[in-house]
Amino acid sequence: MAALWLTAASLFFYGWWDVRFVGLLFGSIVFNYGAGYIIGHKFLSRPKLLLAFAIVTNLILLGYFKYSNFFIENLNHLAGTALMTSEFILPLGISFFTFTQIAFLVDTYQGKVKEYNFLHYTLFVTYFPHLIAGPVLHHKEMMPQFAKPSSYRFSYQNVLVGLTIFFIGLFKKVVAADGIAKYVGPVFAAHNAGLELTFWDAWGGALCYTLQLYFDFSGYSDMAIGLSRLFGITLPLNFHSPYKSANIIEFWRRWHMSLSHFLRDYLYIPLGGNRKGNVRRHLNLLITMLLGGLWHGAGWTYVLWGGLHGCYLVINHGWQQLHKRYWHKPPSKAVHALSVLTTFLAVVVAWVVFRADNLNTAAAILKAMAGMNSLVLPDVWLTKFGAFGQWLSQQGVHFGNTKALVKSSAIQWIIVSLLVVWIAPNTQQMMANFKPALNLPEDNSATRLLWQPSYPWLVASIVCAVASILFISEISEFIYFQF
Amino acid sequence: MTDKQFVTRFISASLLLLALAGLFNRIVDPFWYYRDIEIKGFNAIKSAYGNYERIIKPVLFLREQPEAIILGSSYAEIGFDPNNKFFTDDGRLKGMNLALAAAEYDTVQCNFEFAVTHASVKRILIGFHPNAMPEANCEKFAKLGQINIAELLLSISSLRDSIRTIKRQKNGKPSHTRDGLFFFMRDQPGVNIRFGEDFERFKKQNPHCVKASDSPFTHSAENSFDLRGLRRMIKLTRAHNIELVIFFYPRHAYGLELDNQCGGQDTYWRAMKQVASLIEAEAKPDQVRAWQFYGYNELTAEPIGSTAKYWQDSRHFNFEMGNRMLEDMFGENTNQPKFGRPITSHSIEADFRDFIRGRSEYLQHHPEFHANIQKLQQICSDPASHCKL
Repeated sequence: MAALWLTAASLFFYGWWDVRFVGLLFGSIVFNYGAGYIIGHKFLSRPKLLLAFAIVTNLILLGYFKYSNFFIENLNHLAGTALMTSEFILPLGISFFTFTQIAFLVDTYQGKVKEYNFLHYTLFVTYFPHLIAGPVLHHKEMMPQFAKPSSYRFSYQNVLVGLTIFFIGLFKKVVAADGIAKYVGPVFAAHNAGLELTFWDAWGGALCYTLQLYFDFSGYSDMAIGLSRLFGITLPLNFHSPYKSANIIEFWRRWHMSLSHFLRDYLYIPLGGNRKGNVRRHLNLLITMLLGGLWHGAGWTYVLWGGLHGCYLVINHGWQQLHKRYWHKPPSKAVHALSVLTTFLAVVVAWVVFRADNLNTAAAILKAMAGMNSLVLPDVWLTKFGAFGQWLSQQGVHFGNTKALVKSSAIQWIIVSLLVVWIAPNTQQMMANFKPALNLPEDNSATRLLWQPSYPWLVASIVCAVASILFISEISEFIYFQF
Repeated sequence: MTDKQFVTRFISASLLLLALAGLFNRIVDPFWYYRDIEIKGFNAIKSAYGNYERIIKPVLFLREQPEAIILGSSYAEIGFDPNNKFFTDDGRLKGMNLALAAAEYDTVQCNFEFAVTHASVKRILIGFHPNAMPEANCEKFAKLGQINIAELLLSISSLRDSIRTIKRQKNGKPSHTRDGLFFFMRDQPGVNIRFGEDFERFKKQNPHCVKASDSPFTHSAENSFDLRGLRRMIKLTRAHNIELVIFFYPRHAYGLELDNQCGGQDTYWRAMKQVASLIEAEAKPDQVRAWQFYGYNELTAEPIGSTAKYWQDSRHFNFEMGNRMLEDMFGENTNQPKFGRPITSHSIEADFRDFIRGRSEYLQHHPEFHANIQKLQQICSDPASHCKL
């Protein structure tokens, strides 16, 4: 009964956004469940054919809604055709429910699926806490929980953990991510507006976006975990302090973990993984990351972003092989810190490509970040630095107008956010006493700021919740500088 | 603490704090929406109102249902007292200044449409620049007049502005009257500096044409302006049986001189002529009128020092001047105006000639006129000056 209620609530949640697509979602569920049932129960002599058909059907559906305009635009550009693009509304969560179900089909074929309860399957696909921004759920983690009656039993501990994690996530989203977001737009819009960015503005915009995305995704992941926990269901960990990574391989083990697992298990390994030599391994990595990039959005910037990460991974694997061969000592703290910084900078560069409207914008920002638009220091620093400022000026350092960054509190945002990102424990580490998510790394517990139901944490939780709610309904201010 | 105790306390304390925040914001009323609790020294001066007037004014309009409204940009918002006796027919009409600072043309037109369709307005005064008046797309103003109570009471902006409101009671001054008149820089010294800033900005925007010298006024051949927006407004005026008075924003005579050097007067007079023709062709007689207040007289050519009676800068005029304009437009002797001129297609050429003649006469009696302009222009030309540019 509880499962039925949750399923109905999830479908209602989906229909609240756009009721027209409930049919699409439900049709997709029935189709995939049916295909999986037939394959899993070996009703066919050649189930591989049905598997291929079902996967292709899923990809066609995804491609139709998400990639058809991209394909037509590129075809028009290359072949000089004038095919019309269509105004599509992308069904909410289509990438997530497509991938979730492809994984189910493949596992069914491989005999890994044990349960075929249609209600639990529907709930597994539609489960609302994960539907918008993940994680990409795996049936073997979720369906046993849905089948267990104890999952649905009311528990104060679940409410306590769920609410706390949810409000930490909401705080990250509405206070941190939305707070820093206002510095991003002007920098990424500058190129299209014909403005030339300075070194500082470009770095400011890129760092702000890097941090905005961090808090946004981290916040959504926490909210999904918290919301789900309120209903007694534990979701897998999806985000684990990725900017603390000392290399790109580690980054992808911490950033959007459920997607990384999916790409590894259902794309990289079927392509051959690392079983066919180094060259094939690197090629497989590149293909996986290029397609991973395309999964994020229909645009060349996403493809390039994926390709860039693919290259990073290839370089990282090569470096690790060299390291194994020639160095045997573990890295010192200084080397580790340098590795974290290098990885972070590589990720920042890639995020510029990810966020930019087009490749020209990305190139313009990266050019400014490389100091190719001359290195101009904020003019207010000239007086602030006093004699040192004068000396710098005499040495040929330019001081000028760096509007977007310096005339705002962006610098404070960047510094505080980086401290949080690099030093503070993450939500799951703080909540380690309550097993907040599946697949938590061992020894995950925070050594400091370990959450417990005490008065200090009660106060902190209340502040977090009240602040988050107040920040949700922001009334927009109109500040006029000139009439 | 047990899990149950934690959950209970967490939920109840959070709800209590939110309720307190809401109550606090309700009492302080930083956006001046409720207007029922105003305590001197606590919340009477609404320092945040100006930043939210685009949201609040239309909502107040719906609630107050005024009969005579003023629309336009900051020039109209600063320049007209909506309780002026001529504008309200000696208080018989309930007045409101619905003009908005920095309102672009489309905002003004869409506010007009919003006003005529949401209240029984009898009279509208609306300010424009003499130029094209195309049809605005009002879809983006669809939420005009709507406000979310959660935003008013349970938002961080309301909490922040409530605290600011209380803090600023001691030294603060009201930014607006209850009926929407904006004080802006009224009574603040430095009018000459603000003129200098305007002129310096003008010079930067028009480096090719500013000579700061006497130039002959020109009035070239016709070409047509897009006036579809005005046509639509006239149509709505007929449909709702409203008296509509359009006026073109006056400019200080020093500014007129600069405008002329860039051909501004030519544009103004051509646009005004076409507006007049359209009104005569499409409106019911006397239902829609248009006025202009260009000229060289003691108001528009007021000498500018650190203070001035009629002007806050070269474009924003005080309501003392607005009162004179309202008297002309709505007083008993609209046929014999003291200050402005009604615009008709038959009289506009003669008005232009009068304007030129008036200028010549004024300059003959005020030989210091151009030297004064130059002095104001120099205030901000030094990069070391503290002008806001």
